[in-house]
Amino acid sequence: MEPKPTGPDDFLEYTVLLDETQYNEGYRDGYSDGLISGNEEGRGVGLKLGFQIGEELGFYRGCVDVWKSVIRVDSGSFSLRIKKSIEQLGELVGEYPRLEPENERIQEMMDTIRLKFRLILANLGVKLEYEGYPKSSKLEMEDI
Amino acid sequence: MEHLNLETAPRSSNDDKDLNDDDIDFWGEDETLDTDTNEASSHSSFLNREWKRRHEQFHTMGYRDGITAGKEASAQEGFNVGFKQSVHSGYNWGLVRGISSAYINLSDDLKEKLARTVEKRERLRNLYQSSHKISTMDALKMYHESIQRAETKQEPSESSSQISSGDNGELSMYNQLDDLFKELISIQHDSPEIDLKIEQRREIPE
Repeated sequence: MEPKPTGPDDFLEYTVLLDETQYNEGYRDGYSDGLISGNEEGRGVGLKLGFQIGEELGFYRGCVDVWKSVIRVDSGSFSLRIKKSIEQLGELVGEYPRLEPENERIQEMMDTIRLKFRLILANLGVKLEYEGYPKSSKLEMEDI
Repeated sequence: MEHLNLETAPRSSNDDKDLNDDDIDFWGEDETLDTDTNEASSHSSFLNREWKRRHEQFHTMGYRDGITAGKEASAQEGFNVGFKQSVHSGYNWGLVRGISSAYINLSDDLKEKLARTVEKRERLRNLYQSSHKISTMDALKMYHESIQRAETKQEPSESSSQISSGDNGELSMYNQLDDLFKELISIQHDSPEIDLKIEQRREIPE
């Protein structure tokens, strides 16, 4: 560090130094506040998305469970093709890494699951939707 | 959060003359007020204000940059914590929806094969009707409220993951969603024909 500045030139340097100190101090305060608020905001978003993703997956799983039960009590009720699709959907849902929101494959997996589900519905000729059910209009336009 | 920025620097005014208009002072628009004071004091008070203004300016700049960086550093982690906390509750709720909807859409013949008594069929129908009335938005709200209730009871420790791993009992005890889920379990318990993969076990926290 320089000795205590006295002259006008030193004064300028001193000012710059103080500015920097001020900036750094502000940065430190901001950073620690940001850590807290960022964490809270992120958590809020995560809570929402986690619930939605969970709901969607649970919905598919529930359908699969019922359909599989049907197959068990009355194996002639669905065609072989549908049975196979139901089996596959069950596997897909089971493979989805629910606790890894950062996994790179989840979007792709979800798309596959949705398609498979729609395929089964179309084959069964039923409509299963609820308010809030992901419509994914994009998907429909692209793939159907 | 933004409003905090304005308040971070101490605002004590050394300049008693300017107590009433120190907001304006920051913009240096008060020269006219200084006309009847002597040069030196005016000058020094100007410097003083200038100094303070500068001081705050840099502090605020730093604060803004800092808060952005801090948020970026912690948002993902917060997201992950929240996601893991809620995904299981959402999943259970989705099971209620999926099972009751898929059931209600079966042919009468199959409905009877899966639920052999009138009473069971009635319960499944009720489950469907109750759950179908609840939109995803409503469900989210209910879930959110249940979390807040739980958190006011026990101050959230940093390890929110503990909450999620510790069964959803405490967490959403008064939750309608939970009641419907319990009803589902109970129906299933009474109707072995319906083979459900309900995961009673909690996710094992990594």
